[in-house]
Parts: sequence; C-alpha cells; structure tokens
Amino acid sequence: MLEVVGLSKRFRHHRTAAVADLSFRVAPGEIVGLIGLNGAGKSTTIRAAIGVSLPSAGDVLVDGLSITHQKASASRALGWVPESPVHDANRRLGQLLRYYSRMAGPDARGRPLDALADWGILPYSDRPFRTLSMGERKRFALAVATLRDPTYYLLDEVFNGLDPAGVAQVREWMLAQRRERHGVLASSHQLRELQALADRFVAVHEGRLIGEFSADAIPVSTQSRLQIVFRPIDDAGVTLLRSFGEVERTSNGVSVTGKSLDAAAINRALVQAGYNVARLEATDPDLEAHFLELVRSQR
Amino acid sequence: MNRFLSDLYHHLSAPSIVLVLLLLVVGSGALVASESSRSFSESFSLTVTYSSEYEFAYYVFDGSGLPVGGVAVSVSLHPANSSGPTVGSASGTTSTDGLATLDIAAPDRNYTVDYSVASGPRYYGFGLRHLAPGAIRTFGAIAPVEVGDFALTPYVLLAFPAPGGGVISGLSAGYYIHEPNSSTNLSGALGSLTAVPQRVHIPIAGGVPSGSILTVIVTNGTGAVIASFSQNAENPPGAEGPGGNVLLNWIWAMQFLGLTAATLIGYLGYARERVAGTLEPLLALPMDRLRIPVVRFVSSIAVLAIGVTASTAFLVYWLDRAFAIETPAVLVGTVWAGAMAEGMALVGVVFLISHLVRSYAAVLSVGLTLTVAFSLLWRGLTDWAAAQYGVPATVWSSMRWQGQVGVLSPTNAALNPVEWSLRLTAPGGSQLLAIDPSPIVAGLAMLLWALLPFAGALWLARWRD
Repeated sequence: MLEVVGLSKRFRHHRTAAVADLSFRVAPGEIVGLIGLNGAGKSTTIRAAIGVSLPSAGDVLVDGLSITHQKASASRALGWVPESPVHDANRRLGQLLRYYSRMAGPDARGRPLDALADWGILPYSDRPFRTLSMGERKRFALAVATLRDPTYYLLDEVFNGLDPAGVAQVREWMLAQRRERHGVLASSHQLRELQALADRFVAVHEGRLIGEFSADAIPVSTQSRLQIVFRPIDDAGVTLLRSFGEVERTSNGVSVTGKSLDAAAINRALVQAGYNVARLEATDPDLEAHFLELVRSQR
Repeated sequence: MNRFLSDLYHHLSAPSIVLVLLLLVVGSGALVASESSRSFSESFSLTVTYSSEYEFAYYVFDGSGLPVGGVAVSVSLHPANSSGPTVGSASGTTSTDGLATLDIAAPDRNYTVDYSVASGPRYYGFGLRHLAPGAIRTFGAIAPVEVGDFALTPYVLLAFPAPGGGVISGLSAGYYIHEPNSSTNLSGALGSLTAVPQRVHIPIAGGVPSGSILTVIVTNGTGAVIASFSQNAENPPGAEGPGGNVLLNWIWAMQFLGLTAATLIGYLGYARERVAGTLEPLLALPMDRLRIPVVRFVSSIAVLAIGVTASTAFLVYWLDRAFAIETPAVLVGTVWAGAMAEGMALVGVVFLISHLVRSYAAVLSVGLTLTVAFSLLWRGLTDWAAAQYGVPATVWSSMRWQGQVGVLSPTNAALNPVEWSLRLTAPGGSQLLAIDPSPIVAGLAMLLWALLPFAGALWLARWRD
C-alpha cells in the first residue's frame, strides 16, 4: 500500500503551504487519479511521494516503509514519470539509460536499452537528450521508470506532449499494470483520459484534499452536453435548439448544455425542421463537473 | 560495476570534465614546455681582495647541487667599484666535478670581479670563490643552492662535491645569522648533517630572514672547521639556485589552475546538476538521499586527483628536465596532498553553495568568493596572532612572504601544506610561539579542513530539498 499520511509541504518564501495535511492511499492493482487545478499541489505531492522533495510534515509510506527515513528501501517499490523530464542535455539516451540502470543497482533490468524499445525510441538511443521533442522526452521518462519493476508508479501529467499513439500506448500500459497488481497514481488535467482509466480519484485544491471518491461513485450530473454538427447552421436552427438548453456555436457546429438532454428528441426536431444532422455526440462531463463542483464548494 | 565506478565513468565521459582535466594537464604542460625551452645565461659582480697566491675557483652545479661539467665560464678583474679597464681575465670550462680553476696575473689589491656562465639549456647555480686554499679546497666548492626564499621549507641546501664523488658523512655544523637591523644575532647548532651524496640539507627553524647574513660552519667529528661559507641571504652573489623560484612559480600556477579546476569540477559534478534538476532522476532511484552527494563527491575528488597527479608529474619532470633538480618524494607528496586538500575543500564549498542558492552564476561566484574569504580570514587571524606577540608588521610580512612561518592553514600565501605549524620567532631570537602538531594531528587537521565544507553540504542535503 502506498500511503500519503498527513503530508505537508511549505516552500521557503511562500506564504501558504503547497500541500497541507494531505492523506490518501493507493493500493496494488489500483489506478488512482490525482486531480486538481494548476497549482493545487499535485506535482508537489508526487515529488514528495517519490522522495525527490522532502516533506515539511507528514510522510509517505511505501508498503510500510517511510520515504523520508527509509528512502533506499521505500524507493525500490516506486517508479516516477515527472511532468517535465529533465536529464543531462548533452548525454545520449543510451548513455543515460545505462547510467541510471547501473545506479539503480540489482533491481534494474539486465538489458536497459530494451526499455527504449518498449517505448518506441530505440532508434534515438544515440541522440542527445536535448534533441528530443516533448513527447519523446516523456517516452524516455517512461523508459527510465520501467528500468525496474516497481510496485507503484507515480505519473505526473503523463499524457502531456504524447501523440495519439503514445497516449494509447500509455493507456494500455496503465491498464496492464493494474492487471499485474501494480498501483498507479496518475495526475492529469485530461480528465476524460483519467476517467476512462482510474478506479478512484483524489481531488486536491490549494494543497488540501477536497474529495476522494471511486469512479463508480461519481454522481450523475444534472447537466449534460451534446455536440451537434448539422447543416445548414443558421439562426433558425440555433433558435430551435435553444428550446432544449443553452447553445454555444463551435467551430463546426454547436454544443447544447441542459438538464437531461434527450438526444433522440433533438435529432428528430432538427430533421423535421429540414436540417441534415451529420453528427450528434453526447459528451460525458461527469468527472469534470463533479470536480468543478467540489472546487466551487471550497470558495 | 558498483555505483561509485559508474559515477566516476559518467564523470570522465562528460566532455566538460575532459575540458577541465585538459585545463589542468595542458596548463601544467605548457608551463613545463615554456620553461624547458628557455636558454639561460647569467653574470654577476663581486668585490674581492685579490691575492695572487691562489686562483679563482669557479663552481657550477645543477638544481640538486650536483656538479656540472663542460660549462664555459669566464672571469675578469676591474678596479674596485669601477667598470674601468680590464686588469686581467681568464676563461675555462668546468671539469666533471663542476670546478674550473682560473689564474689571473694581477697585482694584489681590491678588485671588482665580473664572472659569468655561458648560455645553456638549463639554469645552473654557479659561484666564484677566491679564498685561501685549504678548508674549502679540501671538499671542493661549498655552495648554498637554496636559501630562505624557497617558500615550502626554510632550509639551506649545500653542495659538497666530494673528491671522487664520494659520500660525505659524519659532519656537524653550526650556523650564525646576523641581521643588520638587530643588535643580537641568531645562532645555534645545526646538529648532525643528513648527508647524501654531495648534498647536505640543513633545515633551519624560522628560516633565514631577508636581509640577514648567514654563516654556516661545517666541522668534522673532532670539532675542526673543515668548511664554511657566509653570504647575504637576500642576494647570494653568484650562487642563486633556481629551484625554489621554480617550485614557487609552479605552485602559484597550480593555485590558479587548481582553484579554477576544483571549482569547475565541483560545479560540473554536482552543483550544475542540482540547479538544473538533473539529479532528480537519481533521487528517484532506490538509494539514500545522501548517497548521491557522497558518490558525486568521491568521484569528483577522483577526477581532481587525476588532474593534480598529472600536474604534479609535470612538476617533477619540469624540475628534472629544466633544472636537474631531484625532487624529494616527501616534498612531492606533501605538495600533492596540499593541493588535494585545497581542491577537496573548494569542491565541498561548491557543493555546499548549491544547496543554498539555485543559480549557476551564484554557485560559481559565491564559491570562489568564499574561497578568497577563507584565505583572507586565515591571513587576518595570523596577522592578529603576530600582533599579539609583538612581531613588527614588516618583519611578519617578510617572514610570511618567504614561507618562513608555517600557518595553521593550507591556504596561506605560500600554500604551505607541509608545515601545518605556527612558529613565531622574535627578531631578537627568542621563540614567542611554537605550535608544531604531530604529523598525525597535522594530517587530521588537513583532512578536517578538506572535508568540512562537504560535511556542511551533506547536512543541508539531509534536511533541505
């Protein structure tokens, strides 16, 4: 079990704590989404949990081992993908990975370059780190994190910068980790991705825990939204849709937000009015809505 | 491969570290090359009371006091204190025992003697004697190779080219130092001489103050005077040995190169990565927080050792190649240890600073500033100590400049890691203060000095991000 226990972190010269008395758990075989606005303390929490940053108070226990006082042992069960991976800019990827592998000790896999192959960047092994794109850097960070086989992965905005193929690969990899009884703590602003993956969510705001709930317990929103593409888009059509909810023009259509929208009724009304409906898509704003509701409740 | 070796390899494979090592090695090498290719020639003047009963004895020796044969020498006589017409002259070539005997026919009176050695690839020491035959002639020339101004160790190194190159032993000596500004003179027994073939090394506590007259009297086992010499310590006529200056120049160069290199090694090995955040991937690995600075410090010191060792090797080569000076292993070892201690302290300071500020420029500038501040602090402390014991500022300054006072710090002006002692001797000769720790205590003190900044860095690494 990965346990964040009363974690607080206060930076020098800062008035308020970046993280204040935060507690939650991540169990093996579980994906936990860490969600929050910018500056909420997600990265600070993950950095303290991995042992890169020292907590001002509280602790992080990894299978009962303190990351503060038993770091070497506790870190054996942790892998980290930082939000913005930073490595020696002039070193080649192969050099860096072999170095980290040796420094990781006996837990590291025997063929470190296999990790580059796993994440599709083996052809870049002779390239200096500075030449990588953001997505390639994130893939390299994933390769470093998977040099060993830790019980828990701490992923900080892991989807940022990845191309669609990369996002899909990370998604599949996270699900595989869950199947193999690894615990994953993932922070992200891409709530739809997280909602599709996570078993539970930890919501933080201004460094404090504002909610902890399972994916099943996300309340069904009273508001729903439809993305509609129809032709021609004219004022009459927009006026027609306003009878169902609030309408906003988008780049190629409109979005309709309202209480318990009936997609079939809207489609029928548009067709009967002579419009051609090219696409009608219901978005699922539940996690986002619930999170924003939690944030609003703090104000 | 264990983590230390991995990190050392990581260090040594960094282009920037290779550049720093090149700075040390090429810098030292350039120093050697520039001096080795130099051609020397020198001339001096001496006023003598000429006696036609005995000839001029010209002696030439190398930096180790060994005789040098085959060197062209010349002597000319002029009216005393005048560069007027030459009364007589002679020239010759030194024999294998480094001596050339030159006869000049001239009336007995006071003359100014001009004497010189020909240009050559090496800077030899040389001297001229015009004394009654007997004592000196028995042993050939007696010459001070280095006196006083050799900053590392105050001593007199005498050349005793024995007949047939034999070993001189069983001698004892006394010394007598006259300071013109003082009514009292320093004197004392030197004890038994440590004799090695044709060289005698006489350590003199407190050294020979600048401007004083040093007389060394060498006696045999029965107390009979068998050799003596007397000279002005500040300007020994015709007998300047280059070794001390050579070593001092190298030390100054090393101090500059070493300070720069140590700062850069500490910066590249740890501080830069701390500021940039590239140590964080290591921090996430299964190792203790303190292991990273420890491993980085050890590998930084290993890199430093490579540079200092290479540079020291150049020094030994330089002294031998350019001046035929045989460098004692103990001296080389202590210079090496002193440079390492200085470097370790500075690397530690840079590590320490990187835990206090997060700026590349600040780490470098604050590290260098602190190093200078430490040096000034030690200087201030020693000045204060000297004042407390009533040592005049001018005397104190002169003593310190000439390396005749070891200060309890490796950062004094003479970079004296050997002494680790504080000895203050009043101009009148009385010992005011003597702190001479044992080699073990001195070594521990040096180690403490070398490791203290790093210990501070470790303390910060334990408690701060």
